[in-house]
Amino acid sequence: MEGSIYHILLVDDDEDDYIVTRDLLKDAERTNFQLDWVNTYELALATSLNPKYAAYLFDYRLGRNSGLELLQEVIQRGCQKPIILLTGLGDDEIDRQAMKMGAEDYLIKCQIDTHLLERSILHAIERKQAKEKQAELFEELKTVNQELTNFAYIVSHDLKAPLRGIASLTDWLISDYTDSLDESGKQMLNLLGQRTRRMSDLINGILEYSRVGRFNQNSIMLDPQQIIAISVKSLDLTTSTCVTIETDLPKLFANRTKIEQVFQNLISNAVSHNDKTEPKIRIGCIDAGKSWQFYVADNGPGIESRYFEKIFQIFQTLVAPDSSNSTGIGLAIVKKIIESYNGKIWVESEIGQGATFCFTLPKIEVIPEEFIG
Amino acid sequence: MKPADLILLVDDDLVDVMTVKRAFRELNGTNPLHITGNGEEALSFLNNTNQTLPKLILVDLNMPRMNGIELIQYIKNDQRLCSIPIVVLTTSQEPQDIRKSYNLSVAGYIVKSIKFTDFVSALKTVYEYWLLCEYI
Amino acid sequence: MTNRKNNPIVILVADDDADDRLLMKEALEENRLANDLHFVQDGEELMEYLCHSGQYTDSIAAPRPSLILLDLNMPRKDGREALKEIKANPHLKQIPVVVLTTSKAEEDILRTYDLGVSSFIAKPVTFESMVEIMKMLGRYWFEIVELPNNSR
Repeated sequence: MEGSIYHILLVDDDEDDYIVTRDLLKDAERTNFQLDWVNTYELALATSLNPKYAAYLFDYRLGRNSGLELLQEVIQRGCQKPIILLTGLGDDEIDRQAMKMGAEDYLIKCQIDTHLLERSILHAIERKQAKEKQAELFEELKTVNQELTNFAYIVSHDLKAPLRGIASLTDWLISDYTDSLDESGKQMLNLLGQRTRRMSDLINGILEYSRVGRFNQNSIMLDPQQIIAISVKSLDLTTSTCVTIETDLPKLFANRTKIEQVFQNLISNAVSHNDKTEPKIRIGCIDAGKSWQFYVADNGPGIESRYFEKIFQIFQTLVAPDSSNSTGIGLAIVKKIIESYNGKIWVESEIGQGATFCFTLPKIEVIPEEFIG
Repeated sequence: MKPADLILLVDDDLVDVMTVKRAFRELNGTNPLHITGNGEEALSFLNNTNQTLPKLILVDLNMPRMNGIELIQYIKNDQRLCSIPIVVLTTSQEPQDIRKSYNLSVAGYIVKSIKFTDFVSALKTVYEYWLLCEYI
Repeated sequence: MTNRKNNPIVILVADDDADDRLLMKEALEENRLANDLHFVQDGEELMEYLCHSGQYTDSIAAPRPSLILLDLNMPRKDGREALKEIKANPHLKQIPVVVLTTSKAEEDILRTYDLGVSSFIAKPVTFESMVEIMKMLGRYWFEIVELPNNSR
């Protein structure tokens, strides 16, 4: 920034080195540097936490102690400003260590000129600020996530309690007063009961939708075939329903719960919207270059093209609420999950020709070692 | 538990209380049922030495003022009351609520179902199970 | 076999009497609860199993039980001692323990409820009654009741 002074602290036991550095910084054209100097480890510790310093230069050799030790100690004591280590030629190992221990940069003493030094210091300051901002944002994200979890919990509880009361009272009205009620009255009460069940499903659906991305982020190697088998089992399908896997399915590196939800929701959707006496669902995967493209195809009634986007929106259904249990959340959840992996999901269909839901998952190039084999 | 033993139900939701009473009637349960709407009332009831102690306590977790966990803690810390089995009867399915309850050695944790028939069958199992158990 | 939440049912029975163990095993099998059934013969073995020490260092062979059925009278550390230790251990105290014993002594009943046992059931002598008891146990603990998540 024009006009502002950058206070830099140099820790070096050699006065000549200090003079060289001081002169280099004086020559800096764009920036006004003010260099302070201490020549021992102890003095460095005493002065290093002074908030006026924008950056630090530590010499690697500091008499009995090393610049690395100082680096570690100063960072441990809470120093938030960038530290640049000045090393000698051929000290690659030290350079690596310095970076690992938290130095922002390292410079080889006999190779620095004003330009390099100035640039290195300014970049180190920028980078450090960016890292701090990132850490702040991360903390904020954690807080917001926690608030969202609490909110979802409270909402579901406080909404469910009166709902339960309504459902029970409705049931009791029907059973205790059935003689006093005419057909119309009975029908009203039945509709009341249905509505409360639907509301309960909606609340559960919202909770589920909000849970995606908040919990359980660990990825492991998965076999989609196994996952599909488990989903099919838990859906408790009729014997006339046929789910076949037509191709080999590649192993995936992803979160188990999320992938289970994807297949479970797609299969369940295909089944619940199916109008044939023998519902058939075909699942497979094709190699699409940089990603795997999975498909879940059914022999149901098909979907009109004008609804292709709509069905993935939350609470959108294609049938009236009273005629099905669909809450319109299943596909929204699948979309959210696929997109969290940078994949895409879409549907291909024609009325009378069934529907094929396709989704892509990018191929993982580098799988962390501990997950191989 | 014997069919004449007292059961204490601590729950502030009127309709939930009606549900338990109704379920009990359907099971032809003969045990006297005492109802209190919050933890403090429950404690006064339990601390009343003129009153016979219940042989089973059913507790909801979400109650105003003293919540269910606090009540359970009080009971478990009281020499005279700690041997009464407590079963949590609540809406929360949250793992931390379940863990906290079992850490206090509750003898069961039932989640209230929205369907009355499910609730009745759960209560039936609870009731039949406790009739099996030995008490002092 | 899994409970209604699809968590596997692991039952651990601590009893020194071979006939009683057999009776319980068959009654549990009758109720289809015996898929992951483990037996220990005394209090020491029980604690070794739960703490993965002694002969039970392989935690896969000694999975954490969802329910413990405990006889009180056992050699080498009886059920009362073991119960105390279990309830004093922060990792173990959430596991429901049901005492299934021949002792009907009031003192035992009171003491074990004091210690935090979940329930105290008198051990039946006939196979039919044992089957009934195991049926009720199964229904209560694995179908109706929420159990703490046991995978930690």
